[in-house]
Amino acid sequence: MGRGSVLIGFENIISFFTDDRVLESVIATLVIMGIAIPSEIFLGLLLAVLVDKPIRGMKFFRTIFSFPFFATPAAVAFLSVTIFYEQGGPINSLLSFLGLDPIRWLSSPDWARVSVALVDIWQWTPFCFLIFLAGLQSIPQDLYEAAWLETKSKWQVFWKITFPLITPVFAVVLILRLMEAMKIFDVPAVMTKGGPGNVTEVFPMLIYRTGLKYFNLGYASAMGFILLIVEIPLLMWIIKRLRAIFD
Amino acid sequence: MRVTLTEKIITYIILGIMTLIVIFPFYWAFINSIKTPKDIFGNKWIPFLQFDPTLQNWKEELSIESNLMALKNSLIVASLTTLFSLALGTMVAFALSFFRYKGFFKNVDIYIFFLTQRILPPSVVLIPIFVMMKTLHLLDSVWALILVYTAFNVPLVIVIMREMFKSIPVEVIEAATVDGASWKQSLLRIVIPLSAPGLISVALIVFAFAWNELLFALSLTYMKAKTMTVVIAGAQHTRGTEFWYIGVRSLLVMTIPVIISIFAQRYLVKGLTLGALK
Repeated sequence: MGRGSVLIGFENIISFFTDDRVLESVIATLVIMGIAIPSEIFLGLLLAVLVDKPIRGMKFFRTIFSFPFFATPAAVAFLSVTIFYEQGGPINSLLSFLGLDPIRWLSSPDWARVSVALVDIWQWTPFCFLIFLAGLQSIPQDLYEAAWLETKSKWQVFWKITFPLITPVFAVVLILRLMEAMKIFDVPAVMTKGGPGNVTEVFPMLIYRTGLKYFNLGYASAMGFILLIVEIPLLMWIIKRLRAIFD
Repeated sequence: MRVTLTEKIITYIILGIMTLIVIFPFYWAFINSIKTPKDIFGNKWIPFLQFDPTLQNWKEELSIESNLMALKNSLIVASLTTLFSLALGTMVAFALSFFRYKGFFKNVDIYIFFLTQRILPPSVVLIPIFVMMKTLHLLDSVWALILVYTAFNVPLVIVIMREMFKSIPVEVIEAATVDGASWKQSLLRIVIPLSAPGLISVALIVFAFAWNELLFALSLTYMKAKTMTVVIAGAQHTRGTEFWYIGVRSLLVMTIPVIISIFAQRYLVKGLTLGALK
């Protein structure tokens, strides 16, 4: 930028592929997402299937379950520092009450990633749950009735009716979660500050730090650009779907 | 398929456990915020019974100048973002619903063009936007945040408002036009009043999103335009793990969006899925 700028060709792009820090942050992002997203989708679907019954108070629970993804992620992460507190924090207190060893939630490199994923699961499982539930409740009741008369087995009804009909919802939830997961920043930035070491320094955080902490703007832009390239298939899929659904 | 009593009980147990897990952090923040430092440890869960609650922490936190300024900034940024995204988004949704665009960019293309703003990961455009704001001398100004957040939230407004407008028959607009109403009048007098519930719902969602944002707030502000999320993100550096302050501060930030969520239920799923779910 400004007077000092020189065109350096592909240097930033080349150094991207040889930079250990990039590799580490890609791994951190993939590990955290790999723990969080499958858990959220699995738990969300499981809970939605179990709960999809005409029962009273559903409106109340829906409201409660939308709290986590409205709660400021930065604040939740900030609060998690005390929740995962290793000496006398609530989770470790519960573990010792159950006679288990305390876990080094934030200071052990392996557990720190799990902690970040757990906060993510807390925030997003209710979201997956609500979408699956909306999907399940749009299935006409007579389909169930017919299948029930035919098979007399709830298990069969689930696999033959519910599951095929919920598949499109499943795809949408997965894509939305992947899309949202690419934005992961707040929780590791506030709760673990990328640490211990660099184990929770996710990719968006690396871009932020490279650009705005070390002021290597060119390199950080290159990182952003590469992230965009990597995401194109995902973006194409969602754009195709949105286009198809327009009207 | 009848719902048996056992199934009902299991359902309620699952919902109950989930509710506890969801509520726990809020409760934890609350009880910590009213504890004195000496009461923090030792599994004290019930105020009055197990410890004497105090408002001291709240008083202290709310007397810190920079906290109040950050709260004010958060309020300004979130309100103006809501205002601008609603104004722009409603007009786009109106145009997409009632006008037909011909040529290379048809209605659906324009729609997708706007929606990509939300699909794109913000970190991709972080550095370019930073440079842009620097050139415009908008760094550390609430306007930088308002501009960025408006761009990111307009898609949400478009999705939800278009959904609302779909239920308004084109004939109503045509009739109004025949009676001599301009499209501005149809928008303000007919379309907007008819879609008020959607408008309120999306306003609340946008407000909450703008209030919660961290990445751009952290990148584009550093002193006088800091929002509350930035204060929170920087807090640990200067203070150790002081549970009581963490309790107060996280509640200061979280309470507003969580209360908002209670009233924003109606079009929530539609908005968050960008309408990708029929």
